Amino acid sequence: MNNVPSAAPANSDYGSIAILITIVTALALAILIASHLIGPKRRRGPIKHGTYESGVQPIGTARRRFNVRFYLVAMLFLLFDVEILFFFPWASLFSRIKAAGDTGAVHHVWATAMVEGGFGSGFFLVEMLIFIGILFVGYVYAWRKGVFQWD
Amino acid sequence: MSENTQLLVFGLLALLVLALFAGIALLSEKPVETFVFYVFAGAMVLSSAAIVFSKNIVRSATWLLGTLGSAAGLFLLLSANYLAAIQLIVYAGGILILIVFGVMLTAKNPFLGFAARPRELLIAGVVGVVLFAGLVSVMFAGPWPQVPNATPSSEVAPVHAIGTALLTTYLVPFEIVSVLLLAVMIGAAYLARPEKR
Amino acid sequence: MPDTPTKTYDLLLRRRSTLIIAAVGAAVLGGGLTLVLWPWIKPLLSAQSTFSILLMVAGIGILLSAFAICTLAERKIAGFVQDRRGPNRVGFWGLFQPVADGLKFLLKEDFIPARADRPVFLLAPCIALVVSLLGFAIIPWAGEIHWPWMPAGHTVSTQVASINVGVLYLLATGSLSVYAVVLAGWASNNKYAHFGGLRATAQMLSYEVPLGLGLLCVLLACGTLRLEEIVQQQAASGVWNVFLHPLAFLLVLISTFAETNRTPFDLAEAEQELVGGFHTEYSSMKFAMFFIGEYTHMITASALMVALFFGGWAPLPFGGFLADSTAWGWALVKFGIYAGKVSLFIGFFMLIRWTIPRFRFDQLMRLAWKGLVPIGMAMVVGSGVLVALERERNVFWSLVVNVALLSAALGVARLSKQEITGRQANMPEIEVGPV
Repeated sequence: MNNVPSAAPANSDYGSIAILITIVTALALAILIASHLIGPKRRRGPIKHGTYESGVQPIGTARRRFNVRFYLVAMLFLLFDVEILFFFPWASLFSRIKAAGDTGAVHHVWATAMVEGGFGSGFFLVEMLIFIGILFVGYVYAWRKGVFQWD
Repeated sequence: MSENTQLLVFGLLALLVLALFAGIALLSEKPVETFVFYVFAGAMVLSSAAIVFSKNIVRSATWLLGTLGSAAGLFLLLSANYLAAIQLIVYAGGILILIVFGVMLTAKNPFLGFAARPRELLIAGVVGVVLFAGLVSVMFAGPWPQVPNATPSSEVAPVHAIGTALLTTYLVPFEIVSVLLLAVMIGAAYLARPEKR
Repeated sequence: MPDTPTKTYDLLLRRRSTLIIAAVGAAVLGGGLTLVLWPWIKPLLSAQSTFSILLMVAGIGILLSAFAICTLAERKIAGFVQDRRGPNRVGFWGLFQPVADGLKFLLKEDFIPARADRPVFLLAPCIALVVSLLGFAIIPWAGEIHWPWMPAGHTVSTQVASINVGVLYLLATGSLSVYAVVLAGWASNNKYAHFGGLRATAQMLSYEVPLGLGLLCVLLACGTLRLEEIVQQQAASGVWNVFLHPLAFLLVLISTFAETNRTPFDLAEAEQELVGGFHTEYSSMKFAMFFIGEYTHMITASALMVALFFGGWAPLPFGGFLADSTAWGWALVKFGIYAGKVSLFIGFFMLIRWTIPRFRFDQLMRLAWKGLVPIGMAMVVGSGVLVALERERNVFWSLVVNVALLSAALGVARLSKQEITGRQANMPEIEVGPV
């Protein structure tokens, strides 16, 4: 890992991702430009360049207000996404906590003390169960209130 | 100016700015790192300016994607990989969609564009200048604390470090977050209540 | 008179011998070039940084050719399911059909509707292509390779980038691909496209949640986010994760169908209702870019599932064969095994497309939020308890938890007397007259 113009020594793998992004973006632009150059240029016209709505004259613009449900989906997604992202550090850590000697994962003094004191994984499980539990209450409440009702 | 000429001028300007950054970077101690920082920072500033100057809300949101992406890049430079991933997943993937949807829902006709009135421009200008002056004065107010080796080593994955911190030192805030999320859920239930006809 | 070939190139293309000669010629040319340039290629192969770049270029090439093969395979499988032949005119057995399609796309007029938002209209297919081609970077195709000329103990990894947030990187690129659809729908200024974009956004956002929950169950047991470590664990222990987390696999599989907009979740482009959905107004290469994006996303997602649940390059679900072999010959075998598993997945995707009808929007949403999300949350808790009891590597206890959760879920669904994907209670029965 020496030749790649990397952002930081610890991050040299992101250097190859940066190169990948560059290559792929260049590819996309090349496709667009090639298609523009090679394709035939024909006459323009109001009918040809009109919006396609199965042959019917389009009424008004397509960019209108829509059902609040879609907004709700985005909000719920955000909610659960944040929840899941809070799980990830826990998940990648949890199975490594068991051995108190695994200091590569648990380097906090208190955490090590907890593990040595026999609380170990049970303690960390309970922490997460409380987190999920509170959310589950909210989930059941939202279900009962008809948030997940689509019609 | 036709659209193609505009594009050409914009591309040339971008190349010039990049060359300038490369020059600055070559004069510094860590050329590559500095160059990458300037690229991300420059992209962030440019796309932020574009957000403000766009006359169309969806185009603004598209530019916001650039700002958030550059922020993720800056996090990566600081070896905060997990934070960068979160930045992309939550902000670029979720909040931005939420903003677009929200604007589509609230305004009467949000796509006609929003031309600012002179009075609004004046107020916004004053606020902007005051804010900018404040930031600059803070920047030059005194010496910045320099933390040696502030970035984590590659041995301990940031995810594990964050996990340990969340489950021990910051346990109470961590649990409070779930209460916050509960509040959002209740808000969603309020939004979804059946409409009275 | 049925379709007599008249032109010379037409005649040439239809001969089996043309195909064989072309293939042999390409192989000889490639082999010869490699042989001549070998002294220069050698150092490139043994340094990780240059090897990554070579892999990257090869990966893009392989993905794009795989896309071409997929378009043909999709139509051949459609033909098989619907009892017809599928494309069989261009080249022997229709093998040159993808080439003809590509040329046709390229030779079409570059067309932008007058009322579309031009920059965003062009940006959307670019996002689709770029984001989908980024995902393969973290797939560990064949483990570690030790080239014969390298000093002992040194290896290069057959992964473009090995990053410690691995799986999250794939989630991030996946969540960015929503933009291609929503921006295409908005920029077209077409009602079909707009509805298609909205539907697709809601669908992709909804199914990202069970996807994340399913991944979480595996990561909990593995204790790492790096795909190569997860594959190595499975190869060494010989137990594929699918035996430990069948329910999580099901969640991820269903979510992947939805994320890639494949039938039965292709509401975004439901051609009977929305003409073409978000890409109604797209033509020529811009349309092709959306398609490359869709198929590449499918290939990458299949590769992710193979790595997480089916042992990656591990040949057998028991034993632990090849776990420590780093010879380049074995690496080729490993890559073959990985590619074979991925193509099985893709074949499954295609077979499903022509077998199962599309969901209705409310069914889709109910399946995600009332079906998959609670099961996923319960699965996370179940996996957590298993890990706490140190039983996460035990097939018996894992299966017990999975079966218990599944039966509990089915029981609740049964008691609530509302099917997850069935008719909704408040909809009137349709009167069916005498037949």
